[in-house]
Amino acid sequence: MPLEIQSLSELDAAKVAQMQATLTQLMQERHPEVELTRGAFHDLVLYFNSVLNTAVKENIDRVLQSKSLLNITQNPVLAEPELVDAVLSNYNLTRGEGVAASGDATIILLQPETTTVSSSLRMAADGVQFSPVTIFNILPPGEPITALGDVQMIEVGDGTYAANIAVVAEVAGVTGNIKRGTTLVPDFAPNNTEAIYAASDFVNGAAPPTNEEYIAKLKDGLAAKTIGGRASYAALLRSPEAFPAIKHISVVGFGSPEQRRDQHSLFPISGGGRVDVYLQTYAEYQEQEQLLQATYIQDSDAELGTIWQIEVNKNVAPGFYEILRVARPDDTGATGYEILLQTQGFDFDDEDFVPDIVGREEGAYTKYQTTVIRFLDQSPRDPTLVPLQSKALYNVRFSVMPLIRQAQDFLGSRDNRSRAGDVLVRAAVPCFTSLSFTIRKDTASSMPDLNAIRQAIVAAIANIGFSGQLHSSLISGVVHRYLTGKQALGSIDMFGRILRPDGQNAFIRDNTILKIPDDPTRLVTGNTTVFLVNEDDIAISVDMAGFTN
Amino acid sequence: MLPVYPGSDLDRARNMLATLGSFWYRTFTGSDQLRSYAIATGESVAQSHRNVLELAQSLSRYTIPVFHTENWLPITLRKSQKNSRATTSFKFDRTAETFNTNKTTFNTTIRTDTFAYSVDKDLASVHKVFNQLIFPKVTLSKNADFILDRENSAIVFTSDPFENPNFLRRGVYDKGRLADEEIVLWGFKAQLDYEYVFNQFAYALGIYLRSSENAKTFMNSLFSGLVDGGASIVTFNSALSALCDVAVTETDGEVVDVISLDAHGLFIATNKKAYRFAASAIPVVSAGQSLLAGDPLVNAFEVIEFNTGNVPESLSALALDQGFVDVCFYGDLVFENKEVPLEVDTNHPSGYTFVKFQVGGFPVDTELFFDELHRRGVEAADFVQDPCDRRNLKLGTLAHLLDRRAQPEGEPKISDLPKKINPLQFIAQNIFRNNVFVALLRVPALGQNRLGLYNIRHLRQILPPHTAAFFVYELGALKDKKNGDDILESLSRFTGMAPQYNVVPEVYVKDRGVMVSTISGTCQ
Repeated sequence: MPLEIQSLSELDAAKVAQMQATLTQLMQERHPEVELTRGAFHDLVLYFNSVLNTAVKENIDRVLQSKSLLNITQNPVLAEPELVDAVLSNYNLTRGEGVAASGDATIILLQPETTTVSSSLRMAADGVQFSPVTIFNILPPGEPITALGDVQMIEVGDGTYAANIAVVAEVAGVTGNIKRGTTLVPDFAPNNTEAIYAASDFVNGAAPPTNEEYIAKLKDGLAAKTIGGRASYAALLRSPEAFPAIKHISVVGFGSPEQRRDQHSLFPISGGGRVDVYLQTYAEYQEQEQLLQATYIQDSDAELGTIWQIEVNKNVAPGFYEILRVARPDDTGATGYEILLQTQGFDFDDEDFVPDIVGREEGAYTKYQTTVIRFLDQSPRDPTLVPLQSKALYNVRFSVMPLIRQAQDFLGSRDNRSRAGDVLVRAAVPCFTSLSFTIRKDTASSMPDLNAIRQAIVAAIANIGFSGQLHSSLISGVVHRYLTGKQALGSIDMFGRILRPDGQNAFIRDNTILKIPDDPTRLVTGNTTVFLVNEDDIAISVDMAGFTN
Repeated sequence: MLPVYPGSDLDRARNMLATLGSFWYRTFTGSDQLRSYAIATGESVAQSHRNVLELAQSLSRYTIPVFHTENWLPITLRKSQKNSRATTSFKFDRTAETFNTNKTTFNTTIRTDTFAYSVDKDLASVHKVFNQLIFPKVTLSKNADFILDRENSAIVFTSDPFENPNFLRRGVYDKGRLADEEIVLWGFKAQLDYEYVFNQFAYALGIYLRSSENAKTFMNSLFSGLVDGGASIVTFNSALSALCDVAVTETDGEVVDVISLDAHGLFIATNKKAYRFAASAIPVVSAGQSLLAGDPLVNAFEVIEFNTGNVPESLSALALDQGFVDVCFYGDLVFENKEVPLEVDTNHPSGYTFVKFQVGGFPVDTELFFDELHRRGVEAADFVQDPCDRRNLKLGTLAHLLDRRAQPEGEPKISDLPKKINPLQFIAQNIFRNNVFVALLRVPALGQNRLGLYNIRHLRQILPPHTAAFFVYELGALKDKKNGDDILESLSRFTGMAPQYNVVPEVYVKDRGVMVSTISGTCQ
């Protein structure tokens, strides 16, 4: 029972001494003839009394500390789940059990035949077991979908067929956050199945929050879940029925230099009434790959290749950052095809709420964003192609901050939006960050766990949020937790590519503090921009040199 | 609340002894010693009881005590620590001294007529200090015989307690050798700062402030604002009151009884509570006036809402920075609350009447402002309205907006436009009346225990993001009043000295151009 000291030996000697000094003084002043520095009265009466009284005070103090999550985190004795739960309940929070990672898996099928995937199928990836969220019936191309769990396969072009099914990890935690393209190995091979792999990055897996993380959530717990003050916006978005896992929220309103949408009137002065909510929904951005239909435009002016156009509507990858790769489904090359032209637009059709957006910058990374791309497919020309009529499927890979559409729909819904309330949800402006450093060690010491270091760095940077600066000391602090003996950390090279809302790149580099520039004209400041890094962006080399013995 | 003695049987040794029975109370020969023991035990139990009460109070953010109270606190002073570097030295960036005052050397002991000793850093306050608990021969009072210097964790005496024979010295030995001497002072009702408010509640809001009643009130205001979903008037006023250390009316229905100025400053008493303010604060209530909770009593701060489009005379100007105007401007644009001429150009190249008025700021900024304003106006005037597009409802140029004709035809002429305009009133009426309010803080009237105005930033948590608050600091100068009736003026003539001429060669003259600097800003 942490609220009660188990042993009197746990007591702080200084507190006992202070108690005894007071008792001694009270006795000594009246009875200087009594020996109080040693002997039976000192040991059996005053000292014993002091110990018991100090124990009572200590118990009272522990009860007091147990009411504070801050004190609980600082006092390991109090780190009991029931005490934490009691404090959380005062802030309208309940303990979470973590989130099992989920996402889409692509099944490659051999024949265009109806194929059933059982929900009991277990698939392993990176040591984690996944299962389909339900029974899926994969139907041949063109066959109508009639029931829940029906999905239609598409022809890949290399003689195989593909379909996406939703899968979920069996255990909660970040270990289920597998990368796009990771092979899922089934415990038994379903009929007609050639391979299964992750269709996109899985990013929503999360371990149960730590006590330190709960401290950051307390404000969300107690704030009213409504569109009121800035803290209430965050509390509403993170409410249990909305998006409790959102990592960072920045509410940019009247008076913020980054708020440009409230200057659309005759006067070049902010008039208020516009709210931009920038979100970093998960620790990392997500890579998604989708099969989209392209239209043949014309042959390339060069000898080889044809030019195609894809119209990326607002529902394909809402609020996406950039297109990473375009290629035919059967093309396994890493780079894909050259994008010749990219035009950004907006689509407000079928929207209940239309926000006040003028210009590309104001609409970038929102759910309303649309894009048209033209790219050069260098495959051999097909003489049967007809301009503006011939169609083909292409794999398009996006980098996306998930949940932007859902969050916009949530805040803009009639249940939440106030009349005349103009709230625009945007993905945080990305600063794609890469790190490079050397760990120096002597030849005798063991090799540090580089994967664990990378994971810990990603987690630490993901906690920064909208602070506008990344300190190398943060990274060195993380790395040093994994170093022992004669192991040391060299200079840390930090490089950032900020993909501005106007579509241009800005680059920053430093080995001490990587600072987001204060450029509100282009909507790039610490209030709008976050550092995004994944494990592949961290280069660690180990150098066995420098130690003389 | 003043301490009461005896407060309970824990202060009545006889009653405690009586509970043991008549033998221990009457017959036992050592009952006198037993009585002393009972007193000592009662003291420790009383302290535990106090701790339990603090625990119970700490469960509520409203009643949580700011400090822990220790009935009797032993304060041990070491002779070797007298006026040490830790307690008696100039500290860079902490004490008022600067490099240019005297021959200041930081972090070295300085000569002083007082006697400073290190104490526990948690000791926040103690009003009385004794040499003994029961029969003290020395009583030292705070602010008369000593002060507590919390910055340096020191207690500073006017006379050295080690020179006072009534304090019993004890030797401090190190490996059998006398290394130091110490005395123990007994602090009565000592207050220790265990940061209760932060550790129990404020940490959840991410607000760290040094423990004080104002810090607690500020935390409670923000807490209420979060729970309520935003800053109500009462919440906002309460937070501002705590930040400025300027009390506002505590409860509904208080009636002002007394308003007076005394040696401690301004005093206002209602039928329920007495309030203290700085001497320079000016009352905004009168005797007999009935008040509501949150009503200001003095003019230390004034909250001005623009919803009616009116600007009171007390607000002289607003400076708009990057948060309110286009970020292309070099500096702030200052809109003053006074009538200025409207400048009209009916021959503007755009073909539309161009108007502007006096706005403070860099000339290039003000020029850009009116050019941009006119450009937008022309764009709107030329725009053919799509009846289906509800988002384009611009009226035209600023001149069109100011046109006084009932049925305008053609571009307005000078006679069609007002001759003067009040810039601040204009933006209040046309832009800021929807979402803006101003908190005008008169710095000389703020209390001594204000939390630091930089903490205003915490209010962002509870202010709705579609609104904005301006905080205007009015830095009043010291005023010296003189009764004009007592002044006699006489006029006389005398022959002045002939003016001196000094010719400076042209080569010594340099024109460095105009020096500009930012002289105002806006805090959001």
